[in-house]
Amino acid sequence: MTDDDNIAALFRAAAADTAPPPAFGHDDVVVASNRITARRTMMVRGALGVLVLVGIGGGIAIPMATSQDSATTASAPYAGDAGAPGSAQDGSPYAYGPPPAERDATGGAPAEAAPVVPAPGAGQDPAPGQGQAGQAGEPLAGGSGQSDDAQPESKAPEEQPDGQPAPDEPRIASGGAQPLGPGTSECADRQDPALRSIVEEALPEVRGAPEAATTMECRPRGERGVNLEVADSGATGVLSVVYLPPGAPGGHDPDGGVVARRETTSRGTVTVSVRPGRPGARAPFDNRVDAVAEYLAPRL
Amino acid sequence: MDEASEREFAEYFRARQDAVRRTAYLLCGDWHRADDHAQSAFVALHRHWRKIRDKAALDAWMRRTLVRAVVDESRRPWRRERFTADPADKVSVPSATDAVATRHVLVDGLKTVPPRQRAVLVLRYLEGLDVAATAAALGCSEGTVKSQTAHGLAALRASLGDALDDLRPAG
Repeated sequence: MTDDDNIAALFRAAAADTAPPPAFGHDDVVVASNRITARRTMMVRGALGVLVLVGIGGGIAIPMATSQDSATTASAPYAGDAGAPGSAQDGSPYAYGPPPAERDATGGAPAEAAPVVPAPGAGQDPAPGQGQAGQAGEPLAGGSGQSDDAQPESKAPEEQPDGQPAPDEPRIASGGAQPLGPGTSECADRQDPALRSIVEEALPEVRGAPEAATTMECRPRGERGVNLEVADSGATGVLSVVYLPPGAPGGHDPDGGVVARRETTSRGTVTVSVRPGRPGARAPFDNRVDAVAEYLAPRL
Repeated sequence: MDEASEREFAEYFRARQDAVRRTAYLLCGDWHRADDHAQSAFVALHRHWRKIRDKAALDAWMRRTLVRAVVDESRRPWRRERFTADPADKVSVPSATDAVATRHVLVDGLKTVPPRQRAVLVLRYLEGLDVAATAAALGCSEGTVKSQTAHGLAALRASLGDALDDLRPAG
């Protein structure tokens, strides 16, 4: 008998020791197994439920946050806080627009009075595809031939202070113009596509013009605006069109530009202004601002 | 699990419960813990019964599960076994003709052997596995099994002294 055989026999003898009765049976094993299986199933289902809830919550929260952001900010890049160009925002890190040196340095209106800041774009070459140079003399599409009636106005209240209750929605005048839809949030749309389409009808040269930067200020609902970077025969600047609903208090006119204001058929006010991109330079379409306002008034 | 599978498992349980308990006893040296380990192994087997296609490999599966359970438990802090360079007390060896005493001597001597080496000894000398099967059950190489066998026997001899050679299977 080898040593390994001896050891093996020894182990078998030890294992043959009188064993106490088993402390578990078949039923115990099955019950324990089923309990563990049920517990793990519950854990998996719970984890899946948490994942589903997180997914649903995220699916709801993200679109809500996105819609709020889009309502309180303009689609155009942020160019600084409210105030006239050149006032105190030249060092703003959000000024994606042209260099601060090219902004209008004549402004100084308080933030409450000038919420719509015509984006600096002054001094820049026209954007590719704009094709506005040399078209300044074209008549208004569907207009009344008043393009030569430009009457620069120095004052035209156009804004209202913050915190005011939202005025009534503008009534849409009969006409071929696309109606202005209701706002989607508490804040006015600073780049209203419906209003822009009407402006492009009045001034086809601005069709395709890039949107100018606006402030992130939340304007009362019911107000509509369009801010475009435009060029006209070498003159560049910002065209701003603001519709104020009836009863909305006006604000200060932007300085250094040409402003025209008309009462609309909905008894609101439409203000059309152009601002040169450079102090002392000619504002683009300065002789057609009045005609644009005339065109817009019966359509708003 | 369907009824046929339950019936198969019940048959296997009845056939192997005693053997599994005894193997667990030699692995851990305590009947209560041996019952715990054996029950845990059978519960795991019941949960995986449908997934085990080769029923001929059930014994190997149970051995592997049992050894892992015992070795893992020995590593837990509250159950961690402590080994010293010199055994504190040599196991007192009664007369070799005393069958019950012989069994107790071997079991006590096995308790002084590290768990991994103890598992190798049990699988090789109690279960009668060869080196390759032991390596497969422990998930290690054959060389490791050989070295662990040598170290385990050395530790057992160090604990029992010459008594190991004097022990003879009783009964």
